[in-house]
Amino acid sequence: MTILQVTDLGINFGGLRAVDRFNLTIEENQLYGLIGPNGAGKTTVFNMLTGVYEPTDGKISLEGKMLNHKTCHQIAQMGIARTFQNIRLFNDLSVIENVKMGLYHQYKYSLFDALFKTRKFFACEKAMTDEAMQLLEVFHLHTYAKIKAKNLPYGKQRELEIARALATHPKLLLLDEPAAGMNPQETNELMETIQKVRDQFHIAILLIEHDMKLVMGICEKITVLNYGSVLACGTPEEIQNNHEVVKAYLGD
Amino acid sequence: MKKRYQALSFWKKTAVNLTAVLVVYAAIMGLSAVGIVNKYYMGILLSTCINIILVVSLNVTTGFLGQLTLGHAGFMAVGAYSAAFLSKNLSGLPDALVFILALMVGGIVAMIFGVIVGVPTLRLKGDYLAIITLAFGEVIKNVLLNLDIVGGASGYIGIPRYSNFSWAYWLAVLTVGATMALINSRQGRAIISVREDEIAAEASGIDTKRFKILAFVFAAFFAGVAGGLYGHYMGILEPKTFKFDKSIEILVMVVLGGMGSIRGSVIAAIILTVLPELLRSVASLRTLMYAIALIAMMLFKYDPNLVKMTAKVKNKFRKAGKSA
Repeated sequence: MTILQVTDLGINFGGLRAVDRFNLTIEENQLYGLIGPNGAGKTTVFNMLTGVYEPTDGKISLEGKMLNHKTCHQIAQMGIARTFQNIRLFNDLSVIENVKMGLYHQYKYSLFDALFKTRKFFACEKAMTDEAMQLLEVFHLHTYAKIKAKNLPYGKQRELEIARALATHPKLLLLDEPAAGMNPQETNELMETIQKVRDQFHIAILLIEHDMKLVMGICEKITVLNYGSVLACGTPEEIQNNHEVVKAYLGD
Repeated sequence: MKKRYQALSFWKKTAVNLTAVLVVYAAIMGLSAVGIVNKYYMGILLSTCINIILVVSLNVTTGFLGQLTLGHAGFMAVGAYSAAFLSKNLSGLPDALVFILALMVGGIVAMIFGVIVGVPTLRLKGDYLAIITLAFGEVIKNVLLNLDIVGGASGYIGIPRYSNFSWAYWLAVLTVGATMALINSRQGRAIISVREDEIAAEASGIDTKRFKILAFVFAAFFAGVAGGLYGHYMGILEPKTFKFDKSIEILVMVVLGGMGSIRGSVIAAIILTVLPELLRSVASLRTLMYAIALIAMMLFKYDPNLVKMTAKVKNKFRKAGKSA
């Protein structure tokens, strides 16, 4: 079943056509890679998928529902979660509170419940804490639950961002350069984590990455972007043997 | 079992806090009854409580939401005048009931103004928001100055003096309690997430616009209540009380107490209300001494030795609380 269907997506920044006729189809439970040289428009695509930018033309649909003209938080609620290239955590909140923010729409109680400390308030908060702890355990972050997010080591911060994104119960997870700044050892661990997340949570994952070992190692399908348009699309083997792709990356 | 425990530990903490609050209240009332705390001191204590309400509520927008606003005195003015207007024109009901109604109306009218000001302005950030809220405060002041129905420039007189220390004290306790309940809820966390990272909050499914308005309106409500208390204490309201200076005064207390610290807000409100009164003895040097004291406090607040000492005291309290 198709989770995400993007057809002829395009965006202009003033006179600049940043992305042009971009197409993408992601199936259920698929691990998809989006690669391309610097400035190709990968993050711009992410920003259009999550509502940060409004596409100039084209269509985005998630499980048949149109995402155009929706705001960021609406899209997040509909089932697209993301991480950021430059980590964006709630730095002064504790690790567990960061995850609880992602759980905002999972456990609902009103302001009245909060102000008058009703039974519902305690029950929901307890359930939130429990689910947040379970999520943290997946990333071996549970021992850090009470410390401030900004005091986590870099690699752990990246994982916490993924945990927070998963807390929104997404159907599709977008990872923007998850391995950036990691050493080979950490990258290997990350590869395992990404696969584990996909299998355990049964979601589709779309990732932008420059680390070819990671992309070729775990992605089932890859789209290559160059100067804002799709250069190639296929399995890792097809991409590696594609003359156009090699030319874009290495020159003639 | 564990669920019960969580709720239980909360109620236990609340019981301890409430006892402390009661003890302080009983002590002040006792001292007042035997005449050690005279009427002048009770007046200062009442102003302190009003300031606690103002500072804690402003901390919701400035400290927790992270938006600098300079119009808190404007909301206080709206609340003060609408509460006074109601109690002056409502007769035939018991005093206490009229006062409660007046305070509620003061808070609600301030809230409505919070929405009117908040919806268009909260799209702005940082200095822009500060300037626009500053302008709002000035507009309110000038409208009141020219509104004859509430006395205009000569002041709104003859407001029944319902306020007393007890009212102010318990309303301050209520404000602190409500603010703590808000901050420790999922809505409160959403408010803090706006301060921490708006884009990440949106990506986590948080409607940041809604929570900006919520925090703004929450703060406006309590500022309105504080205004109502103030009006019914003074018996007269003058627009010039709610000048820009008043907003700054509240903001100074928030900053000194620490952005996003409710306990700090309460302490700062107490110190900075009592201090100017104590400095009355040095008459002509009063404002100078006040400024110097402010600078000294800001400097020493982050002194490493002092920070260590407060941490030690905190730990001791925590240990004592656990063994009890």
